[in-house]
Amino acid sequence: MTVNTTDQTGGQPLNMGHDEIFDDLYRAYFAPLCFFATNIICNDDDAKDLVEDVFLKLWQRKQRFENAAHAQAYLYRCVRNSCINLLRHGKRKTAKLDLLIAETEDFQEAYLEEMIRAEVGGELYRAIENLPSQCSKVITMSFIDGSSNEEIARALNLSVQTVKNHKVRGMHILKDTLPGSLFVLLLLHPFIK
Amino acid sequence: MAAEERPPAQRIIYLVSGYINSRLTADEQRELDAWINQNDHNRQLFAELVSEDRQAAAIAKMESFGTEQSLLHVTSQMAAITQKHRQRIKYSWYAAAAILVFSAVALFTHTSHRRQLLTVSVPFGKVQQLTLPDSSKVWLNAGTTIQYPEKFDNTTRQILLKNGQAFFDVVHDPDKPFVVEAKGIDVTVLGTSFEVKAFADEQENKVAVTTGKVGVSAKDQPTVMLLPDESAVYNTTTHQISEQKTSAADIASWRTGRLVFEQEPFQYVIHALERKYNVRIQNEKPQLLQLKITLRLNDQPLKNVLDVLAFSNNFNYRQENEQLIVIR
Repeated sequence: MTVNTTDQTGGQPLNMGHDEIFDDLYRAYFAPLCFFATNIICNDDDAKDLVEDVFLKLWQRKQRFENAAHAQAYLYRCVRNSCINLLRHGKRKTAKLDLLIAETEDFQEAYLEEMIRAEVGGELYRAIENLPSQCSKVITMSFIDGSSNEEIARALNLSVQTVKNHKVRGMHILKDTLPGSLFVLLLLHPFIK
Repeated sequence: MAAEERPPAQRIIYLVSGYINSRLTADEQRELDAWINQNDHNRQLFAELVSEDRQAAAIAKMESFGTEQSLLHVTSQMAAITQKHRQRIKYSWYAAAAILVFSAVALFTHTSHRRQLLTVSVPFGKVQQLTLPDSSKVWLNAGTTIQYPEKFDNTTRQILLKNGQAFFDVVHDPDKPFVVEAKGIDVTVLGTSFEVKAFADEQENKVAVTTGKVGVSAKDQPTVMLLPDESAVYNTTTHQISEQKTSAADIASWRTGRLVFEQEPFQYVIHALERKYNVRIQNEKPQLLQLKITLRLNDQPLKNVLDVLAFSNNFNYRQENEQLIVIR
């Protein structure tokens, strides 16, 4: 990662035309932005297409950002605008209703709330994603899917001991990235045995 | 509550994430408390944000969007756009060069040297298989012409389907997208198998996917992504792309001699028979042109095929000689 997504204040200017920056921003924000868009337009596939298009457009424009916080705010604003466009021109039956809601004054407030939901969740998502891949799979299956060590071992074709090792290693790394109660929360989670 | 009293969303994200991570200073904690205590709504939102069940559900949802797969898809689109851009630059070069005759000559020899294009044409009555420079495999149906470079360049693997129907089994290479250009559409993949049909005498191009993911783009149209068993039809007159479902077993079944038509215009069926059996079929019953034909047959002699068609569509035919059949 060359982009530090948790650093809200400082940081380097970013250029979306730069391959490495593009990939980093994509990995950091694609899933939280899809989550955000799905909550507005209620359709996973449309949300994905829409977020892909936003990234593609910003790449073509070689969009520059002052820092990571600027990039974050800008991406959410672009995706919100695309969502509203989709509702306005979409063919879905519920679109008109959604649009009525989107045009009320409360929408601005609601949109900011959805962004908060997506990004608070996005922090943990990114922390897990940045683990080494096998480790990340084990943590995801155990924490998110609630699979047992035996189930994970079978699915990933590993020994149960290796699964346990990955868990310990993953937890160790997460502990450094997520000090405090989010890490405790992870440990206390009923799915982790 | 006046708008200016509301901290911006990013500040709240920072404060709530900081709270979850126990990273807040005393001042920041006070700032967060003030926001929480502003009203019931904020209190509820905060409780929801720190709820572990909601966190787990949100992350599971985020995982389901498949970031890496999507990044791969977008990267291939980016590669295709870069390639188009290069071509535009190249064409404007040509235009400039045309004015300066000397440069034009120089450029011509340069490009003709660099792009050694090979052309393969398959006669009627035959199906041919060949291997491309990257060891991808191509099957060409009767009456098909394709053109490809002797050696692919460093950025893309570009194939031109000039006329006909081909099935591609492409070797995976994420750094070099495989692009098939066919009568107004570009079909872009990284490594999959799919069929492209683009006959010069038919109004519709068709792309159908057997494995992997395929991007179909036409000028001024949004790119359509296809997954296995999906197909896209591009109308070369209206320039519209529409999506359809296709049974995997039907895709490129001509490789094993099968004939499959799904709601195809009568004239297309006649063209397909002419190519497969290397005959000329003359239609003297114009009302047949309105028909849409659905037909599935294994490798059969032409006579059997015509018997089935004649019976179900109420026409007669006569074999005038080896080469000519007349429908009336």
